[in-house]
Amino acid sequence: MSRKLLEVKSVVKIFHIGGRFLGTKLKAVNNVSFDIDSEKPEILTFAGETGSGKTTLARMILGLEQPTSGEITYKGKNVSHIQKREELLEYMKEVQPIFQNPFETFNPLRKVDSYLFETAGNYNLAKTKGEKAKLVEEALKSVGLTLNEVQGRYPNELSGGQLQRTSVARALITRPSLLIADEPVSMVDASLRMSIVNLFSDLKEEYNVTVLYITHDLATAYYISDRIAIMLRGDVVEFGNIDKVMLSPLHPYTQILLKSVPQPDPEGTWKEDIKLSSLEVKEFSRLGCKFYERCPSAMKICEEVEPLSVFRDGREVKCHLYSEEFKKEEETLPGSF
Amino acid sequence: MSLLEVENLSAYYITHAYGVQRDVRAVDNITFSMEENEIVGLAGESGCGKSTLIKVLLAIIKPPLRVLSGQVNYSYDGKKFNLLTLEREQLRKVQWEDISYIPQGSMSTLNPVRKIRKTFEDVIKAHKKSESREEYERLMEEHIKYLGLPLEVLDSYPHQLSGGMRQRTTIALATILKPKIIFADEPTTALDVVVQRGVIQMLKQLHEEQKNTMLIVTHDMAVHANVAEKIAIMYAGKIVEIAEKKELFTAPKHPYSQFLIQSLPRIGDKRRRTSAPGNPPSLADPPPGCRFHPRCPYVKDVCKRHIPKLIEYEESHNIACFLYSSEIEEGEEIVQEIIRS
Repeated sequence: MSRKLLEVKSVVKIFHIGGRFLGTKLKAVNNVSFDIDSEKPEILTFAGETGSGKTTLARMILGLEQPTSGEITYKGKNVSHIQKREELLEYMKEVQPIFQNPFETFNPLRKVDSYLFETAGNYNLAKTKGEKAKLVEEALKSVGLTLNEVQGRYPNELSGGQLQRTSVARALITRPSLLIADEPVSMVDASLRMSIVNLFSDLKEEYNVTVLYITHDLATAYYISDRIAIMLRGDVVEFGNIDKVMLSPLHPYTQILLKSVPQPDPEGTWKEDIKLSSLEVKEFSRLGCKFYERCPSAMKICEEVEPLSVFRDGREVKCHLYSEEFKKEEETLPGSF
Repeated sequence: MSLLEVENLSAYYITHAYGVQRDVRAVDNITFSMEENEIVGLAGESGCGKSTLIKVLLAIIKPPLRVLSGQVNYSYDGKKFNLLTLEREQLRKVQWEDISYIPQGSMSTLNPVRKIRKTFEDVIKAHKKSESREEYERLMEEHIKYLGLPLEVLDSYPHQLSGGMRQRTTIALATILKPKIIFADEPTTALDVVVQRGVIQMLKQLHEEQKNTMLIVTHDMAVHANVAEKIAIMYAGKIVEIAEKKELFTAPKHPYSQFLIQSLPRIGDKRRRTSAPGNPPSLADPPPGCRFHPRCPYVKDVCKRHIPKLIEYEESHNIACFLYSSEIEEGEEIVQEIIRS
């Protein structure tokens, strides 16, 4: 039996909006479960539109947010039970984040290299300045930079691509086994995007780092990932092998999402029109399937009953079109739809 | 005569600090034209001067931005003028009514403490003084309905709408007076794919109905592939290639455009992509000669000394590169003299 690096078990996160009595509840993450093998490094993508709960999930894995129910275990230890400083340091050493906007990650009044040296010092990895410099140099080398390029420079003196690479290098100093990259390329230009994305697959191959890649850019997701989870309003609606999910999607939402990806192909322009979501909070609090209003193949059952995740054709899919119960019900209640 | 003709346009950000002058050459000797009823896409990495170019074309020029040379000539409906020489009053009449603008990050451009209806009213009142209140209302509601937005939008505050909805509202606001030409600055950036598609759908619908000319700026080539008819590639303050969409995607000529097209990921294709080596130059201190030469794999001696001129290589395919012609750009010395004086 192979050991699990990260296990996420039916995690739910509920946010309260408004006052204590009059406010409403918003389920940002609804019953999400998945695990990552420790033997086999991979790139796992979480994709979905704005407000689908991707970032909340990432924050819970990083321990910045406590799940309302369910548990997240890292190498057998429950993340939300970490109390002692040493344990927390140990965990933070293993799991490192990379943030969205490289220009906001770094303080404009601080030199970029100070972040690298500080990280090396914070985790008791090195005592002397020479040791720290060696660690920093190694981390920078793995992202294709040298210490000379960043030493003594302020963030505005570096390009977006260089800064994002520095951000990745900072995360690599502690030699983590899991990187959580929240939209790492959305603020980087198309021309530099590929160099960052290639960097992730190199890290996977050479340093056995697992990357949790959170994005709404499905084209780069397809390019580097091994598995993908499509999120919609807190639910994981489809989860499985990247080729299976993206080349033959089953869930109607995945199908629409994939059709909407603009292809860099002068012939491939969209023909038909689509429906856009109306009000987000309304969709979050919907009882049945969250996609009911926009779904082209919506049925009556979708409005009232939340679908269960079922295993179909090598991936998990959460839709009544594929669930057994629905089929049974249809047989027993002919003509009710 | 084309709808918009830009000639030798140069606009720099000129700042003085501690007696040191710093020029950021955001728009550097650009010449191009746009025909009526055409959608042109302008692509390039961030910080290459795309947004500055749009600002100058709209004559929104505030220090430290200064126009050093060039003309921005518009001609439509029998009118003909250089936008940069218009008086304030004339400019007010033209801006928004004929020449409209969808600003960058338009999600945050709406006034947060006014209802959308008030913002719409302000725009209409400023340009159509003679009409009655009922007339405003009718115009507003018709336009909102036509663009497929719910009427409740008008009575909401911006924070009550989602990002995509706010973006679409801004587009509605920019097009309510049926402008001749629209400049859209990154209209789809920071939106997710489904919403992005809705916004593009809306722009196309407007183009079909109002028959306006559009210049769409974004660094997302996939968006250009779906909207634009002609694409201009900008690099370090200069336009390096202009071509028909199909031509540019299948046979890009300039080495920078080649890198740009090659590096695009496609679903269903996992071959390794590479981006251009090196880093984009700083506009405050651009390399001499061709701006792309430090990163170019085909660099020649002449590239390091002279700037290539944007020439018509084939019909409707313009390139500025010494691989295709040996013409040298003029006007560099003149601009230098203006800065010195």
